[in-house]
Amino acid sequence: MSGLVADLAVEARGVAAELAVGAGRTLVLLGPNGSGKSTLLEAIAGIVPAAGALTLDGASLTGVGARDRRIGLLSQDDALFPTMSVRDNVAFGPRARGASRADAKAAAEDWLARVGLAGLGDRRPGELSGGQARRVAIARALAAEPRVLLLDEPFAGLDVASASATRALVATLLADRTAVVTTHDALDAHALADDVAVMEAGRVVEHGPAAAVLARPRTPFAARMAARVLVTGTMHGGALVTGSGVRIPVTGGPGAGAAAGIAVHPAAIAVARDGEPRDPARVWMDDAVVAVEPRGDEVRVHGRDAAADVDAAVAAVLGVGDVVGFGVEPGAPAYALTSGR
Amino acid sequence: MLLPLAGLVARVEWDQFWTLVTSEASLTALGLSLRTALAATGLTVALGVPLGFVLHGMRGPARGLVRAVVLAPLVLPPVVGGLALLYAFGRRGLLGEELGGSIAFTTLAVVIAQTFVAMPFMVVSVESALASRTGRHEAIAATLGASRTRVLARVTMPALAPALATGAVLAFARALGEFGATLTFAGSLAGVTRTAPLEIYLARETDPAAAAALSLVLVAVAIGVVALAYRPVRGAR
Repeated sequence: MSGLVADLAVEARGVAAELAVGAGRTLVLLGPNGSGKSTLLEAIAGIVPAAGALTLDGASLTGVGARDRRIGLLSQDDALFPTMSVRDNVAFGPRARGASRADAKAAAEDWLARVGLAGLGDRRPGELSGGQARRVAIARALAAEPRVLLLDEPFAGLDVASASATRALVATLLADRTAVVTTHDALDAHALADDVAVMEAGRVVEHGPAAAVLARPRTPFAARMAARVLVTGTMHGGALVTGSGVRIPVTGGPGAGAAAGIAVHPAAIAVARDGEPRDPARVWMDDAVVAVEPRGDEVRVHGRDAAADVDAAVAAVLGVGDVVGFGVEPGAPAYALTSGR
Repeated sequence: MLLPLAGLVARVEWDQFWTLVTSEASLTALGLSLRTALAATGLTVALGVPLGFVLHGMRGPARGLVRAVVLAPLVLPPVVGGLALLYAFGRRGLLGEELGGSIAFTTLAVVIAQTFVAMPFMVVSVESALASRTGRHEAIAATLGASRTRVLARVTMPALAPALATGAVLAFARALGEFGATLTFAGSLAGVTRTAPLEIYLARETDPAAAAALSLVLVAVAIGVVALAYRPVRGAR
């Protein structure tokens, strides 16, 4: 197929993963820190030795050095060359590919303007803010005219304002470009992805079109990365019956007896403490608090099977181990869990 | 630390200082010292930088062994170093025949002796600077299409510049002060191999005032050079 197909293993770091990106598409690789996302990108770029197969537009890149792969990597640490001006950093790729000094400089100025940093060419990398440095790194990677661009956590470590500005810039720049973006934030996936892959402990555990993976995750882990709660069970006459026997009326779904699930946003789930009145309009599942995670002005209460976003005041009285009920509204669309991708 | 310096300053006869320092013997010795020390510094850079890279690239027990050999001149008594050089490059030394006669007791011998003792400073500087690099910048440069040569010239070497400067300045200072190896290997021929430290040692008996004056000049150079070398390194992360 055209595009990038990787089936790579980096044994020393416990990574063995497969992924594919169609030409001109953006794949968002979702996974927690330490799941091997960076290693996989480095292996694709050719700067970490890896076993396995890698093809780009049908041609094998196995045994091809990083220099000749034309795969750009934007690393988390930016890795701008501190001894060069910003302009020379961006001009580095064109110069390395044989452009004349003047052409490389013109290309650098052009790219600096495209990332909104016109006029900053004479600065040293040490004189830039975090957001500016990230933009220079993006400009430098793109100025080298890569056939594939790999972005490793491109919005990590930036303040909220520059993260969202950079996200908008990246969304524009990645249109019609073959790219892989790693993140642990589902928001990035929603904003950028054509396709989504989910990585867990060095393996790609889920891979498919963004809408399918984000809205219909097939494992609790993928659901968590997509910021959803996956409730699984068996179909019985228009309802999903969970393992503990709770019957949740759903819409759609596979035929009776098939394994199915619903993916619900934690904000749409209610919590009731043991003994508290439970809204009869919802279906309640008994659970116990496993963790309480502050998220800005809300708190996500994690149970064994479900999670819910609640007001900080409500969460304040909850402790780990407390018996609670999670209330789900009936009527969520169900989908089969046994089918392939 | 300051007492010996104070003692030296006390011995200098200031009314004669300028005359003594600018006497023909002093100027000749100082000039020779400067020229040979600069040449030795150049050689130290030319040989020490590649050696630092080689050492950095080595793995296993060989690395420790090579490092110990390279650093030996640092801890060797200079006279022993001079003798070793004599047996290597002297008329009846290992390379005496190949070199078409002896290079011992020539200005070249002075430069070789100084390079021998100053080299460890450069090798240590370069090796430790390389050890503190992650290779990250080099890897990214490769993904941007840069050849190994370009990566070395545009990424690695500029990052090593502060370490190189420090190594060169220390090597220069060490070369300037070289005495034992020079005396053993190159002798003390006025205008040819008699560098400032040798001149000072010689003058000590006959003209203590001149020796003190010339010593003070070397002290000033040494302090100046070290002050220059230990300026904090800025910028690079």
